[in-house]
Amino acid sequence: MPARRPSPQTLRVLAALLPRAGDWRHGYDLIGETGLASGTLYPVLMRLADQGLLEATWQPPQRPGAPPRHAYRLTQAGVAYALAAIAAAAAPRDDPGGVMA
Amino acid sequence: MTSAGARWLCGLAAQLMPPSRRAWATAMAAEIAHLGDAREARRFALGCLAAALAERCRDADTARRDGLWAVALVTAGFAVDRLSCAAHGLAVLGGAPDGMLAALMRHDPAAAEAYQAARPLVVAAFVALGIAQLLSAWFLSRGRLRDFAISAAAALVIATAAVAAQLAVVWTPETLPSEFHAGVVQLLALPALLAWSWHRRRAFEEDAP
Repeated sequence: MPARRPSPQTLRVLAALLPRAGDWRHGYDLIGETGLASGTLYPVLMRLADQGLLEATWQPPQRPGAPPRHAYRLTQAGVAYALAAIAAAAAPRDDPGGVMA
Repeated sequence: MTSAGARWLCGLAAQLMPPSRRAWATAMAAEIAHLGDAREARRFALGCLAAALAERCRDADTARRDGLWAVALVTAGFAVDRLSCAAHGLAVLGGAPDGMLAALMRHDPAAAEAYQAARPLVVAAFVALGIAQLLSAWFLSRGRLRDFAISAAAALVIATAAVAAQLAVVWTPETLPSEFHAGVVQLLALPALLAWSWHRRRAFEEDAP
């Protein structure tokens, strides 16, 4: 589990992924939901996947000729982390270096 | 329709992405094919390029390799310097004029005789030292640290022999002999680089997303 507070960009990604945590989501959809640029979103997704908070899969294309598409969703640990991170972000910051759950 | 420019940018991003992140580059390139608007695709591709560049700069393996390359280049510079000395020595052995010998002949004929006797050994040592240092540089650039350690140890032995041969004749150095400079650089830079690389990798693994 990460020991530091997540960045505001990560919080936006977590907030976008959390409501439908069981659904697979695509990168471009997440860009639309978070308002982040692809250059910000993908490094966040990489960090989350590195920590075992996000899982990824290749989905078959929905239209002929298109390549398979990478999709993402939170793992169980990711859901717990997202809940704790979002709650901590909403709470008053009396412990700036605090450890997330 | 995805523009050719966007696809090219994604291809560039894939090249820039560190090997451990190549699957993500593929994912980004695949995503771009699903974007309808060419302008949006270009913006997306530029973001992918920025992400790839950031990952490349952040990649501990890349930083370690660049550091090894830097030390390798410095080592190669010392090797070239040593080989140029050897080339000058070979020219003198072949009959070219030697200012050092002329000076010794004027001031200390006995030392001049010892100098002439030791010269082939010193020149051979310089050739061997240059080759050992070049090998060290090559192994460093390839990240073959064990082979580097062997060649660097050989270079140290050869440097010691070369310095001993020169000291036995005329030379009393006031500073560290140049034969040892490459070894000093390696001794200072490599442990620092490897320790920094190790800490950076650990920090990367423990980093919050």
